[in-house]
Amino acid sequence: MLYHLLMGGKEDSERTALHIKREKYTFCELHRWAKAFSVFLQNKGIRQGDRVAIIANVNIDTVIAILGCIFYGAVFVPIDARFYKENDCRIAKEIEAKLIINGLPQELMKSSMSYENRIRERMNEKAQVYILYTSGSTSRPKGIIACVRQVVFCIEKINLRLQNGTEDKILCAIPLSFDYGLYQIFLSLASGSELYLEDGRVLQHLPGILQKEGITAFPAVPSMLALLCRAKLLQRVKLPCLRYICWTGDRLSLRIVEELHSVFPDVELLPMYGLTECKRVSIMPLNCYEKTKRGSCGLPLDDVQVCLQNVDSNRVGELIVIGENVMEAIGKDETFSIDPMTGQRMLKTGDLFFIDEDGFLYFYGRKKRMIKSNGFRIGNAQIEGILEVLESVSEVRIEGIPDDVSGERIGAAIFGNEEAFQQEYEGIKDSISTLLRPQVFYFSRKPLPKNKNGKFDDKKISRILAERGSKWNGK
Amino acid sequence: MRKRIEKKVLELVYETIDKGEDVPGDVLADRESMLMDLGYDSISMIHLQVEIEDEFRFMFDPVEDDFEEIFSTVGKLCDYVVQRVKSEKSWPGMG
Repeated sequence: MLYHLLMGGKEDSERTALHIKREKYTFCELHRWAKAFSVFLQNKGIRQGDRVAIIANVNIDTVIAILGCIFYGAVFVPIDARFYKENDCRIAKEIEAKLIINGLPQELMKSSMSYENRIRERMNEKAQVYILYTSGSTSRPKGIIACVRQVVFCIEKINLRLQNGTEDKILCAIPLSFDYGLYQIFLSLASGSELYLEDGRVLQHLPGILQKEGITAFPAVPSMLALLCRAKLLQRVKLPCLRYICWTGDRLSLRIVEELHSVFPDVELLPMYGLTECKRVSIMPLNCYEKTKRGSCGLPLDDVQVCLQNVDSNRVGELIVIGENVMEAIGKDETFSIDPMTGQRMLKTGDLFFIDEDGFLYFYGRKKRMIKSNGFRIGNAQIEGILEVLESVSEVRIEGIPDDVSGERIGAAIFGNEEAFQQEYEGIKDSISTLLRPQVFYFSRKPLPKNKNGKFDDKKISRILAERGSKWNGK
Repeated sequence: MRKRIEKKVLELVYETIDKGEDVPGDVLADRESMLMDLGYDSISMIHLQVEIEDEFRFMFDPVEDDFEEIFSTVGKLCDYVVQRVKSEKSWPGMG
């Protein structure tokens, strides 16, 4: 069912499906090797539903192993290659992996033809497809299980919203152990587009690939776009083929959005929102963002319901997601439940949102990152949104710093020009509510710390602010 | 002049490195040292690129330049900067 969605009707196609490290691979080659890999799994004694850990290097071996597991019915578990140590893989132990794949055996590629037709796809819609671990940016990483039905739902709804098709060329430099990166394989195969996989170690060459290869779709993370804009690299290429840039995983500064829009006025800029626990919740519809919806992360996907819980006087509340995109957790997890009205799976996201009259979602902050100061709840995203439009600020992160008197003080970690910031901030300070003014500042001459997926490392930033932040002196 | 340019590049490498304080001077000065091994990641590498452009007043070309090659080792980065500065006579520090 899932494999059919990805490869159905394309098994014999000589069209290029994938580009990795300057090599091209056709749909036909991917299909043949996926089948060969499934025979390899059988020969290793792997059974349907067994868990196979895949060290997710960005190479053809990883893609074949993923497709082979799907074809065979094994549950694959991508593990970030940068954190893999042989004989000491916590995740592989935790999920009781029967096999760890770290590159394909050579004989598999040579003898693939002889395995034709010995195995047929055997996954039903309730079968588990993969287990992914959350990035752990706000809490301990947890394992999330996705079943065929959920994955198929997400692929179809996302491709429908983005209108990915056979004419598209998608550039992905996001780790394959991150659901955002992994799904680029699914989305491109299912839509028949070409996927260019890059390992993201050297981001500077991405603009060149965008131009030279005539890329039409560029899924990115905010830090990647901010860095490429700051280095003026995106501004140095011409991208007449590019149809859209989308991003998720964090907020992208409106200043960067404006810059992207001024450089590429014809390119759709598509903010999105999602979590590993429910893959994608919302995507900005095409032709919408530029009109009225700046600052929003789009409309919920078709057939995904959302509502807010514990709404405050500003109409901000915790986002609840109901639909087939909601996955399952390993072990007991109170954030997952069943919606009594629809019988569908339901997730408490832990994220605070505002929903406008047209149903567009606006991210307000992580519930766990809310700052509680002098009896008020303050959304850090709200303050970040005020400061990040300043010219002198390249990156800003707002964190609560424990304080005996007020509960928490508002801390601002800023990567930018401190002197220019002082001048700019003095100019806007009086227009900011006193409740929202940061009390502690830390200026960095380097980009703020990020985690392996390119998101801000909030734990580290909080620690830096607490240890090295200082009071605002002003001028 | 080559020595002055290389010295300045090494200063920038040292300043922008994530774990600069842990890297002994002789390791940094080794032309074969891989930037990744010195603690560089994709973020700090872009930061270094910006610093080099600001200091030496030339711009990298995202289409023609092979960033993976240029930013692979300290020596290759120095060679590239020396060649660009000489051809464009862009560095105020040339005297």
